[in-house]
Amino acid sequence: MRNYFVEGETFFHRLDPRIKIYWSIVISILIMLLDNVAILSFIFISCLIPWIFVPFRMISSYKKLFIIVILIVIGKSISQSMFYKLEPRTSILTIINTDFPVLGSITGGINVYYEGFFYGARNSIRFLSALFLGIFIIRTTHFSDMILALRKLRIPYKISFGLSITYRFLPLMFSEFNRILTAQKLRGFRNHGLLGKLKSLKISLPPLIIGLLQRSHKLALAAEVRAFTTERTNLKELKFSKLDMLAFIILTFYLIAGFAAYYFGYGAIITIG
Amino acid sequence: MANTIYFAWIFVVLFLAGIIFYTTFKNRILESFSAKEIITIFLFVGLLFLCKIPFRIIGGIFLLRAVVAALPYGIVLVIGIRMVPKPGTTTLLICGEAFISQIIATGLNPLWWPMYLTMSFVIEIYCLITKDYCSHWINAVIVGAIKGFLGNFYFYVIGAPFIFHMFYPAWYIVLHIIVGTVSTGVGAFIGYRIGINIIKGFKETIDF
Repeated sequence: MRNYFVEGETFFHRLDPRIKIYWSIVISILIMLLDNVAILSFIFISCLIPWIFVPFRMISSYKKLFIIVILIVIGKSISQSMFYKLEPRTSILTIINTDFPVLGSITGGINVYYEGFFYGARNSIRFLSALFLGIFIIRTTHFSDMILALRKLRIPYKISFGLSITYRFLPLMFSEFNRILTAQKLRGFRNHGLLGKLKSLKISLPPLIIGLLQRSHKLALAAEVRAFTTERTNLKELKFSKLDMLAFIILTFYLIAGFAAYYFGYGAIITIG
Repeated sequence: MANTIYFAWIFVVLFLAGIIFYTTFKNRILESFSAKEIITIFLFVGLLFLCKIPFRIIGGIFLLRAVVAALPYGIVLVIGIRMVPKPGTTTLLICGEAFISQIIATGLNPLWWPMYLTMSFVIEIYCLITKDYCSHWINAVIVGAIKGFLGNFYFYVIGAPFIFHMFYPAWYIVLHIIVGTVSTGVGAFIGYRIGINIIKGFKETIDF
């Protein structure tokens, strides 16, 4: 299991996590609201640009990200080429004919539409914008800073404490999970394929949960000894700097511009089923 | 018509959120959780996240997502609820896992938050009405089915057309909702069965 946070001293690392949460909300609203290709591409580029300013070592997993991007674009293009609803549409291939037994009447026929292919590719920009910004935020924000931001946003202390516990113990749980699996494999168990993975889960869950409950018992004792119920102070304090304020103003303008574009007819088309 | 459904959905979510918010803060539900319960819930949050990892790649394949991700999730969710049978546990488990998953792996994405909130609120309300936290297998299966149904319903009926503007035909949506609901229900049943031995075994060793 890996931690996506990458140390750095860039502007984005110093940016208040609350602003980053606001940033993700602004982008989510914009990609949901707008539909124009040029505007969506602009939003996507605005989510890509910050990647230029972060440390070069972050590029180490760009290859994996590139594969994900390709899979998303291809996946959306294929699915939308089959399910495209808008007119005009040009059928270039028939997968299931309307008079095909059973499936034909259930599906109403499945065709591959030329326009749908491009519609899917264009719409994958929405997924990619949210994906790139989301990953960028978690790569430039330490988990403890995010927890601190949640507390500043008036999330109860017990929840933020719980989230810290999860984060702290995930690597341990992961290694314990692997240890149990290794032990099972040494005893001759093979976890290949989907069924194998499900079986391995069934075998490893009870000992994992028992270990987890024993740990929670010890942790609770330790927490209560340290007066868990009282409010805690933090070593690090979050303060709104001038740069944070500037980022907040820019993002708000961005949001207002998005609403204006929607008002002037660049909004998204909504169709169900 | 489309806009009416959309705004009705938002209204329902806000209404349910309001009820939960009111009960949580007015009746101090969160304060009623002891340190041990909070730690147990959040260790289960970690487990919910972990149990999905082996199925990440397979889960991307058509229809398998609804089965392979839902089954282990249903198992751990039900055991988690049974370990701390209190109002608020489901919300902490589902929303906690979603938050951890976004912060650690998939990236912060608020577009999914309403889905997790809706699933948690509806399950909370179901448990509040029945006054049962998966202590009976039927309730465990219903809790799992609600989770599976709402997760798929949100994606295909709300998320796909309104948020991501994707087209899916009715037969495809119905197929995914049925498979998702059934597999999480089955997962919940397995979770109930596994949970019996775990809770029994654990209570014999440590007074929980």
